[in-house]
Amino acid sequence: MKEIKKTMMLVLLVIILLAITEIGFNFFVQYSLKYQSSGGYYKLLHTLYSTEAEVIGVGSSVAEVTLNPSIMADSLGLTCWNGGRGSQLIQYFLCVQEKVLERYKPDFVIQFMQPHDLESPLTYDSIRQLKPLTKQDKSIRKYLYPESPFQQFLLNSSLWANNSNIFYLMYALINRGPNRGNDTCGQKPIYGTYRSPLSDVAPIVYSMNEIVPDTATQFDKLVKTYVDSGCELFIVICPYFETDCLNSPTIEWIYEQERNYPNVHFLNYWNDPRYIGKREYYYDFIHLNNIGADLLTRDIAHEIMNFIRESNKKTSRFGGVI
Amino acid sequence: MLFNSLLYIVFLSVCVILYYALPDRLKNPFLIVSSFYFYANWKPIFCLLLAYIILVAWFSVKWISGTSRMKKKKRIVAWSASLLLLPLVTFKYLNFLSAQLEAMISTFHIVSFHLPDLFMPIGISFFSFQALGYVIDVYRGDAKPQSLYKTTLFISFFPQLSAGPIGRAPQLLPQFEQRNKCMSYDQFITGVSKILIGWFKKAFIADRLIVYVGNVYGNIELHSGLSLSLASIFFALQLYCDFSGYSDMAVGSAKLLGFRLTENFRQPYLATSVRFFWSRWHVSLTSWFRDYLYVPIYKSWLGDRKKLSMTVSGILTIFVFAVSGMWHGAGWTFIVWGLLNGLFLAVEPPLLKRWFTVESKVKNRVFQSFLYVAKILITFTMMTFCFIFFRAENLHDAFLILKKILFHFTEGIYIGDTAIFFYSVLSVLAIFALDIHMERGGNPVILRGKNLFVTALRISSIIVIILLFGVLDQSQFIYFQF
Repeated sequence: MKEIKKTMMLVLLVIILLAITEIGFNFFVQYSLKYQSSGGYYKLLHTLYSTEAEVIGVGSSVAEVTLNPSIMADSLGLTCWNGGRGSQLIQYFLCVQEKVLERYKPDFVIQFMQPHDLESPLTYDSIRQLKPLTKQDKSIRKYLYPESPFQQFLLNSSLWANNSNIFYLMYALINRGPNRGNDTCGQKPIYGTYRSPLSDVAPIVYSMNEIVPDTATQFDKLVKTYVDSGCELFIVICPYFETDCLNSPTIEWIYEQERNYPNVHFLNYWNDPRYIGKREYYYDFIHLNNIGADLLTRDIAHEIMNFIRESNKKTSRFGGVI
Repeated sequence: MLFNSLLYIVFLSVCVILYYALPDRLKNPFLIVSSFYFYANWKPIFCLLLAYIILVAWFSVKWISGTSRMKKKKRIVAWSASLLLLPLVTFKYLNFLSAQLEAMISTFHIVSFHLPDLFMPIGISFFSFQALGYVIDVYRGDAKPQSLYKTTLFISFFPQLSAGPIGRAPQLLPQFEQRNKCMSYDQFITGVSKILIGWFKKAFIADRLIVYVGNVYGNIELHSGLSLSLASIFFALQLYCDFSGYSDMAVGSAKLLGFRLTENFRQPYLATSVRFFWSRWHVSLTSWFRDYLYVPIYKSWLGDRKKLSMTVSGILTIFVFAVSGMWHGAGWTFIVWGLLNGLFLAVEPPLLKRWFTVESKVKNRVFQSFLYVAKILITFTMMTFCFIFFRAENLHDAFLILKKILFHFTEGIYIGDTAIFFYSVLSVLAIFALDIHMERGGNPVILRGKNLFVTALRISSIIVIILLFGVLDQSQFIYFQF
């Protein structure tokens, strides 16, 4: 009996200590989000809960470092917001879509995609940007653990919700943000094999993989929802420094969407000769620096402008915006 | 059901509570039902395979005990070994053999064919070997033949079912009869400590390192020798933490139920020679091969002689390790890995003799420590070298890695995702700190403190570390595939 009592006492003490840690850690999360130097948290909150920009860009790091909202706004005479966040996948895009469409209907959505997005399986572990928000906004939980109510319940715990996130919480506190130094040309720092010098390393080799059905279903849902809501969807694939293949199943899929829906437009810059192999435009193998990003933003704006002009010939839908 | 899943934690908790709540006569039947439920959780159909192995082992020992003629007993063991290893060979090697045959036939352009790939049942290598060991033990007189009920319990005991440790009849069987009425505090803290340390090794170390290793080994051509060396070191540690993490969780789970399983790992990367490494790495399998393969062959070759020559025993060691390589996987990389280990073990004794001669002459303590650390580093390097073959997809990749390490070493280093690299370095430091603590005679029940509060503090700390830094995607343990 004494042994059982001692064991129960230990279990109780562990529970109390875990509860104290949970409360303390929750304070730390709130503090680190509120005072982070990079401002990424506010950018995320604005994307999800307050932006009402007429042009909104969504995507992962490629979107985050490419779309220059002021160039886009100046070129089109429309308000623009870049909602791209590094390392984010389809679940993040869907979450942004839900939150944005709950509030308003943007005129143009620029959805940045990678040329192999549909060939990768869904990984819920990497949606780190949304994790800290799951405690306050329960509707986000389904994007992290769509099939497990138990896992969604566990997200009530800050410790559980911020699994693998602590590095980024700390990093955001000390990182001075996107305009920090001239050497990175204002771009997000990304380290890796391809960092420099670009010309001395072999290009990324893409094999033609099969489309993963689950991932494709999610992207189908994304496109269909934008189409149904009446937004003009521009899907953009950014140029890479070098590639050794011209096509991918993902690209074929996007062309199919363009054929199927009149308000889906595909801008494919992946193998664009104006960008390929030009060191001066790249931060690393797949991310443009600010020179390349500004150029590409102008290109995208030019395409949207062409579309608006064409539309205005047929209807007066965008008549007032230019 | 994976040990590193919440489902398993719930399953184990329910098992432990019910096990102690049930009257003694129902405890063993309950363990059998739980074990089959645990195994059926993967693919229920494979429970039939488990039942087949149990039946063959039971019939064999019954038959052996019913005969007094040694020749007949030997024949029964041979038949039993064939029948017990038949599913293993079929599931594990048929794909490999058909691929080899396919390649050979296509070379001569005779006819093309392809056999369907078979899905390998989890743990088959482990429970087949456990059953075979039991039959041999009964044949040798080291274990008594047991009823079908006890044989089932012994082979299907769930903590060791999916990836060992491979249990021995003389050690495990008596434990099913002498059991505690209730769980003691010591038993609880030892079991919980083992499970949490195992989970820490798996979630915080192995599953962190796997990302860097996967990125580098997935694109060998693009990476420098330095990155490949780092990835190889990370893989050696990943494999260790993955499997020893699993073993710790198995030992801890059994401990909560009042059973003592073999410790499978004893700080292998602090071994000072290849021989010591193998006395610390996957102990239950190494001792299985020693007792049921090496020793019988050694004795039969020995005949009337007092000792086998170093060359002959070296050849035998290489052979046994080649078999061990094949046990790990059907592929040339595993065979080369086994052969290399065997070769290192065979050539090591004379070299070590010379080393000891030098070492004995050194009186300076600092230099002695330096030599000690040097031995550890040399052994670690040799093992990491062997593990390149273990990890590489094929021999071509393995040789390409070696070529890059030797001739293109300093062509930059791949860091990848900064956070993952940061966690990886942190986890490497953690595993060495843990092993050095154990090697220096630290308390094996790491989480037990001086008093209740300190113990609770340690347990909650490790839970917090796992929650914050661990990979909780329930990835499978590497050794499940073997």
